[in-house]
Amino acid sequence: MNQSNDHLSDALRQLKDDDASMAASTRVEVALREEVRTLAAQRRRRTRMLFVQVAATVTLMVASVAWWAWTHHKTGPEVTATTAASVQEIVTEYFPLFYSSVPARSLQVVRLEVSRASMARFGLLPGDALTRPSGTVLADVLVGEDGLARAVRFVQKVSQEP
Amino acid sequence: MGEMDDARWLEGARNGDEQAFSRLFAAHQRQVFRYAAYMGGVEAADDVVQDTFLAVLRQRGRRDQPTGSVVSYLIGIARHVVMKRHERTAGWTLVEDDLERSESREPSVLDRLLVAESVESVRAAVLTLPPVYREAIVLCELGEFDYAGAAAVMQCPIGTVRSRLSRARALLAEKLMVALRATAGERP
Repeated sequence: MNQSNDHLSDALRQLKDDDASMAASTRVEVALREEVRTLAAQRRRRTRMLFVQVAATVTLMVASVAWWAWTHHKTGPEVTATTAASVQEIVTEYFPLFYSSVPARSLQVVRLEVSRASMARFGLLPGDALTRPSGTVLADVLVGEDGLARAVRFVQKVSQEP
Repeated sequence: MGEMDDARWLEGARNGDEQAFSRLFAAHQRQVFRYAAYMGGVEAADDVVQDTFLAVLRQRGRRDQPTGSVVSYLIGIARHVVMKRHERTAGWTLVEDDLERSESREPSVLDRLLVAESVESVRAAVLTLPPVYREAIVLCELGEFDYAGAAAVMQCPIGTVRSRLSRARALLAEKLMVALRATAGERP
């Protein structure tokens, strides 16, 4: 049996040697090379498209920044001057809120519009409470880095004649 | 030539590098062709090789990267192409039957046959094996695959590869012996 196995192995080895000449025909390689060239062309097209897209985006960004800088350079100081000259803010003291006792490493002031009724909770009445009973007022809220509000003050903008 | 080269050539070919493709094709087309010729018929082997490499070139993305060797990956795709072309899935996935291991009662006769038989007779016998057994012979005896590599291609445990190969060899011996008897009977 072992001898038969050996002979079978020999026969298979001879077959393997004989098969060494087996290969795909040239037309297969030619067709596949053509496919590779198509892939290369597609890749070049994709790269070109990507370059055009990036260039367009950069151009748009530069143009936007230039336009913003030009418009703000021209009109900015004028508006600021007008604002500074004509509007004044009157603020209340800060009133502690529910989380005021929670320690905070840093605080930020966030300006919000709140309902005028919220002033009443702190025993305050807006100056124009009688003429404008509803609507909103500005409030500066002190917020910690943990997102909890510590205190609030109310802001009233007063227009002044130049 | 190593796995690193194979992987680099594969990546290059997919990116349209003709030289990388040439190297990849030259290194592995014979194995793919041989597998295709035995498993799908020699007349379809060219088409199988072409479809296999086309599929490889057109596949992109992480899930299309070979997890084992590139040659296993190629043969795995060729296997899929052959199965798809011939729609013989049932034959390929047949459950191991209860074929008896063929023990030659006439080793001397078989020996004479195997020595005398032409390579063509052995090839013809291989081609008549059921696909699962033929595949084991093609990968492990005629190809360069070890059991682990063949198991990866055949998508089965290594033990199954061993068992299929053993049965394949037994069947092959049996077929060759039948051929010998037939030849001996014809002789005056």
